[in-house]
Amino acid sequence: MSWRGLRDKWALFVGPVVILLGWEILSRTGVIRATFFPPPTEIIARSVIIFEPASGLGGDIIATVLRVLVTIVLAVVLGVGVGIAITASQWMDRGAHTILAFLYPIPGVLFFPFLTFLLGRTEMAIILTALVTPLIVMILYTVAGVRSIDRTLVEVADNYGSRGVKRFFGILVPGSLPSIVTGIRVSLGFTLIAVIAIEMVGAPNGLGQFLWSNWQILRVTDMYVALLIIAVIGLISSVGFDAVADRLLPWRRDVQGAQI
Amino acid sequence: MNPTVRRWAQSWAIPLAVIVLWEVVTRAGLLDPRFFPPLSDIVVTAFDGLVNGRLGLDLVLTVQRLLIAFALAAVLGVAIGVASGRWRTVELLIRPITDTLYPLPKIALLPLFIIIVGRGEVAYIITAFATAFFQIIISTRGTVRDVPTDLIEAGRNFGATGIRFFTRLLFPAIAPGLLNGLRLGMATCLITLIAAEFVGAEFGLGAAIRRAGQQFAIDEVYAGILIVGLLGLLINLAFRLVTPLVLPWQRKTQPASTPAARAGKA
Repeated sequence: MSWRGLRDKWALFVGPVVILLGWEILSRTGVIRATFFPPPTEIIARSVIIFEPASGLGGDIIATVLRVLVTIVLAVVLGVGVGIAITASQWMDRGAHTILAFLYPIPGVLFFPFLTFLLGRTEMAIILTALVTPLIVMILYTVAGVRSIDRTLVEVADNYGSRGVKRFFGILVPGSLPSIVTGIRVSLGFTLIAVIAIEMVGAPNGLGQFLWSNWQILRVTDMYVALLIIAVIGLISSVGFDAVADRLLPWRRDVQGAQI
Repeated sequence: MNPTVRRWAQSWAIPLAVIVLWEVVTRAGLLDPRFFPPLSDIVVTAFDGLVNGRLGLDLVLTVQRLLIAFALAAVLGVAIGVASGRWRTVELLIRPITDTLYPLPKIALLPLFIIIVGRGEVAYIITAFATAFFQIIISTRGTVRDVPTDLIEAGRNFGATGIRFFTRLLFPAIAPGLLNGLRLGMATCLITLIAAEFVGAEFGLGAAIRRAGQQFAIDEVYAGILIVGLLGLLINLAFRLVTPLVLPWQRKTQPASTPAARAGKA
């Protein structure tokens, strides 16, 4: 960013600086209780526990990130496959939409007790629980993407004998890609929510578990460190994802949302 | 077949088939009844819990928390969203904050809120509020920014300034997108609220499901999930009913049809 750009965007830095500085001063002077709101500098200084094996935080970060990645990959592969398949028939498409519209506002974490009955407290149960909402989102966005493909394009492809795998990877997937990419971004948000929530109630490790166990012993500064890391993961999954996606798919127009 | 009837049939044929199949398969004992109770039993459990048991109280509490959290988020979110869509300085001021806090799963903030305000209603309401608040800011900002510049300029030339600019020009222009944003905001508000209750509350639908899960009462788990799903459908239905009242001129078109949805209808 050039200096000129920076001068135009001075306001970008005002918000965070004011909040952090105000927080620091209020906390240091004891206006707000430092036990609940430790000064930001102290939180940053405390962040070294990421690299201390004794705290286990490093392992928790890896565990959470791995769960998010496995879930999102499964959601994309299954969601795009199922999404494209059901557009083959109006009956499947509309019927599936009714079912998904019912399931969508149910937080995935509610399926955790049920899946732990079936599978025990295993990694499998955690991943499948986290998968519920992202999978629904991926299916809905894929369907919206397929519908956004120009009908003429599909008919031309059909007339020239595009069938099976070729039709799938040559027409349907690239045509619905902008919507699918937006779906992945939305799914990433839901995946992160689900993984953290499940870790809070029933995982042996992970950032959610770290957060919850430090809450129970009131180690507030460590909680803030975990929150900071979760916020960074969130930023990477949204702003970072957008930056990469805009570079890879410059034609991506924002498909504002599948009609859920 | 009449297109409306056909559409309706297409929407409900497969869901009904799934319901019937579930009932038949579980009644026939093909699935382990400990894990898959018949649907009719679940409905009876849900009804019984609502009328005689604690589930009624849980539902009332959840709805109350949802309405408070959503009302606060809607008012503040729309106000800040409109301001940041209209004025670049406001946008730049709040942008880093919304960008950081929007993707942060608010459920992770629940322990913090509990420490600050104590374990009680306020903690769950704040968690649900925070989710919807940032989402509504972002969707409102996008809607305001999508209003065509010529519309705004034409309106200004015809004397829509000051308060009238907002009431006569901006609000009607953004209303469809605004309602759609509010609808999605309320859905995520519900999702977070239930998850927060599930993780840390004593009462509420989420807590009821956790409780049932710990007691291995599988039909109560299903009953809770069923009620949450119906609540979600009800939110959608409420917005679908409200839209034509607020936007009488929008009667023919679907509420806030996206490019994708419009293409689907073509």
